[in-house]
Amino acid sequence: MSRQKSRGNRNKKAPERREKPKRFVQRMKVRLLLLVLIIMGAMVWVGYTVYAINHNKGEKYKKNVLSQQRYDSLEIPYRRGDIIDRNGTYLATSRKVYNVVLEPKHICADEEAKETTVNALITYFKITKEEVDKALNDTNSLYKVILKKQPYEDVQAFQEYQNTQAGKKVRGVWFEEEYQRYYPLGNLACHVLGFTAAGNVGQGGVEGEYNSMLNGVNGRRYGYLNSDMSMETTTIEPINGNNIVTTIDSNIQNIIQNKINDFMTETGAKNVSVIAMKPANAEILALYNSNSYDPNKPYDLEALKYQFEGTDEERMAEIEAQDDDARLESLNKLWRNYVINDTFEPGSTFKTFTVAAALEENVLKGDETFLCDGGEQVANYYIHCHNHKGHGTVTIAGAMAKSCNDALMQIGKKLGRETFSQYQTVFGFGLKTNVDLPGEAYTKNLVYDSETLNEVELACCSFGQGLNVSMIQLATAFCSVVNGGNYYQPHVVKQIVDGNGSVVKNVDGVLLRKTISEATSEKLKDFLFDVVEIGTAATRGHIDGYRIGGKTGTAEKLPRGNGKYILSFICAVPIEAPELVLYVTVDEPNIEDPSHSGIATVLSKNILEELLPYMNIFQSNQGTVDAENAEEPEAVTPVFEGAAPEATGAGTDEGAQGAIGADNDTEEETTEETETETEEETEAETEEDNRGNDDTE
Amino acid sequence: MGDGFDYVLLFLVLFLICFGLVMVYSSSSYKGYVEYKNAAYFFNKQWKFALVGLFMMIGVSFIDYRNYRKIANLIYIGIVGATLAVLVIGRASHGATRWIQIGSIQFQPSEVAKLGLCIYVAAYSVNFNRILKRKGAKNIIVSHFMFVLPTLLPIGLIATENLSTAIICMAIVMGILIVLSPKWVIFGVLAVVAAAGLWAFLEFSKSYRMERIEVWKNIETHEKGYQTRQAMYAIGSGGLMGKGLGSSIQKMGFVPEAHNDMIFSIIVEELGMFGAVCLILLFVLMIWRFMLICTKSEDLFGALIVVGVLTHIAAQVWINIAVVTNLIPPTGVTLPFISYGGTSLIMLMIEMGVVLSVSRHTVEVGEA
Repeated sequence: MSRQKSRGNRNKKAPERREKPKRFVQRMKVRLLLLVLIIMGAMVWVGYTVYAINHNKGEKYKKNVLSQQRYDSLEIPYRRGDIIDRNGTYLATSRKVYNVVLEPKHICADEEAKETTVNALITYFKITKEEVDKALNDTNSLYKVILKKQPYEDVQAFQEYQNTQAGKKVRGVWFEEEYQRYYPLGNLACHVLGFTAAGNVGQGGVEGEYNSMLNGVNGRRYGYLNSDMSMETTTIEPINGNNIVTTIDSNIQNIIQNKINDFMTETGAKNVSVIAMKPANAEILALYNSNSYDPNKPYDLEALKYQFEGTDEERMAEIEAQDDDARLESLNKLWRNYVINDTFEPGSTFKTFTVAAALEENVLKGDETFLCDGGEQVANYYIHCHNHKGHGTVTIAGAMAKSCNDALMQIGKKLGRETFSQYQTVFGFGLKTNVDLPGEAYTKNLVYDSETLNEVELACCSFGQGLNVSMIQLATAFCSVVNGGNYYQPHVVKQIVDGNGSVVKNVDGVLLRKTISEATSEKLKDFLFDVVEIGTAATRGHIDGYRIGGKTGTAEKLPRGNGKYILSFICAVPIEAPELVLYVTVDEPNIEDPSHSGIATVLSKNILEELLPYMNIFQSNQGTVDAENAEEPEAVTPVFEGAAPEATGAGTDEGAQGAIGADNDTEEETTEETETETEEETEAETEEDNRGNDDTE
Repeated sequence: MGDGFDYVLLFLVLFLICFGLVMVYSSSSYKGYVEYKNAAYFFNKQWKFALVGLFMMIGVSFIDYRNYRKIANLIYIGIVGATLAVLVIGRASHGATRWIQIGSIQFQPSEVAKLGLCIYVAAYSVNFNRILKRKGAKNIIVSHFMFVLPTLLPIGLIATENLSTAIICMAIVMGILIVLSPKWVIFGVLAVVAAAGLWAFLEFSKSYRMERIEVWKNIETHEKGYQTRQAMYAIGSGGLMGKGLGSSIQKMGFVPEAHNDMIFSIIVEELGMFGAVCLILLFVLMIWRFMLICTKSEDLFGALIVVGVLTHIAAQVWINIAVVTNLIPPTGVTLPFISYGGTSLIMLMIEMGVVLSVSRHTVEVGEA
């Protein structure tokens, strides 16, 4: 204290002197201690606050912390299986696509990072600055999906940029994986494939029929708190769907599609359908309907144009003017697989089976001759041969080659209603083929059984008039005729392979029954060969160097006499050991006098000329058509004013109803739609009146 | 003049920095991974700052602190200039302008201002000692006001954009004044003036600061109380011993700035009340060492610098913890030596270098 005083005195005397350093005196030390004590008190206060929070609110806050945790787990999508053709070409596949997710909160935290991120997004994705800014407006959000289903290429480019020096600043962007169904070949084989609606729901075709096989099981990533209260994650890997190898050959399909499309643009028809099968085991090699669509965009209105008349603009206008019901009807029409779902009167192609039955039952020995005088009196009706003057005396081969109705009526009569009806069933008419495509037409009520097969009906059915069949039925039966009598279940799926590549199931072809003997088959093949060599298909169906066996068919649609025809041609190549059965139907071609055009035969020839070299089916003889002896192309078959059998029940079954539905909530409408349509197609309603008239006459 | 270099303080500083690095790594790993695909992103930056700071601290500790007295006025001009510059050309960050960029180096003038203020106030205090002793109420008021007057300009400038740093600066000035002033009445006056000033400032300040008061009062319910609430959840869920180092749940996107202003809450969550008390004790120990350096210091200038530093560290630690425990309205103050941040860490270590330099020139009590 004395020193302090003395210094104070000295300062008074000489305030400008600073040599003597000033001391941190006792008084100040006391003050400092006081300051430190205040600070310690403050520290104790905050320390106590920490304790108080734990003591008073600890349990509650612990719960709050846990309740804030998101337990809801992340779904890892499975991959729907691929659909592959017989050569390994992908018909349908699932591509990984990416949803772009932003975390606005992290992006907006730093101006520079925000700018870099926004610029990068605009550069690498198809999005405008305004859209990104809009998404970033919600600056507290951690999850904003700004783009969906971006291709891998774009995402990869973006991620490469992120790895560069400039791109390091990008933040708060991540990608969510998803799968999108993709059909690389567009509308090729669309009716075989079908398409998928949202959520991997297959609609129609293989997608629909094998939906559960193609789908897998989603995986999951769970987060949970373990006993030590730390986050653990567990991943259950997704199980990917099975891949399906079809019997389709995309090259064959492509050739057929090109030829028919050419025809549709040049000439056109209400519908053209083609099925190509491998007769040895009834594999379907190709299946085509002219009303094709792109399964990548099944709802595309462009594809509906064929249903309307006029210029492009007029058609689009009409389509856009449709109400919902009409639109759905149009779409269902578009997606419909004529080959499987629809039935028609086959006409003369059916004669193959009548003759086969007669030979198999020894009703015919093979050397019989028949006199065709231009028609036959059956009960109260006189039923004309298509050649009203008559073919004269014909052998069985001649009857086939000339497609003589008169001879066939006589053969039918010899067979009798019991045997005819029995063979109708043997060949699968009126039954389902159980082809592995959805919505197969139900034809039980569209053929006559032994009870209802009266004289007139028998006579008509013997040449393919008066009964309804589907293309798949007739083609499959035809396969059995040319392959030695083995009726296989037709199928489009060859093999099912799981995600790891191991085979789940092989489908070699299921032999359902024996239809005819080898010997009968050989005889029939000779007859069929003659049809193309010297018969009704000779001028239009013959291809130099190839041994083709086939049968033409021309059926007038109901009501008779309206000039609307379904022309068809079915053939097997090479006829000795067939590797291919090709069946072409043309419904209402835009041709003058279609009954004499043999347009289906012409189309077959066009297809075969390109198809046979591709299939490595070589030329086996150098025979040329004997134009002198060649028959005139088959004229119209129907000469009978009567009717096809009465379809008392609805002409469909549950399969046909479920053929293709837009989606679940429109299922009812779809069902109704399918019913009426099939009824119209089979003309069952109009028949009733006709039949009534028959009875009274 | 003996060499009383304070190894205990050096050890405390190094320990706190290492502990800080561990906690920065723990609390920022999630954020680093999410935003930069690198859990050690923030840690990697921080240990480099720490290394630079270490060299600077050692370097500064060899410089005789008495040199600073000569350039005290220059420092004052520098502080005013830098804080002015930040208002004019500074760039925005977190809503308020606090950064200034020179070349590639970014720094916060307000961080520099704290150390500068310690030196400047200590320097003129040496000559103020006598003036403060004047008797009479009028003299007391005038002399004390005169003492504070020169600091009002830089503090006012800082306060326009960064209230919390201004408060810390004010605390530094007051801390030195308390120790220096011979009048006991100063305690009462200071308490009243501080309270009134704070109240007035809050009352007439920008509206967003008023909103902070509302949030503070209704922390459990106010929608904008989310950040502090999350910090309190972290503290409350820590328990006695915590969830274990690295096991914080709240750092995963819930506590904002988990590696920065809110790091204390993550420390409590992971290391519990035990860890929190240990950390507070470390800071108290550090303050105690500062006090010892003061008492052993042979001259007033050095001692008063350390008093300023002591007040600075104490105020900053207390405000930081008080914010995360919601004792006071939320404001952005880092936890010294622990929080993530380059300028803050390096300036603190330079500050420690100055204190260590003072400690070199101490004498054992009674020796003089």
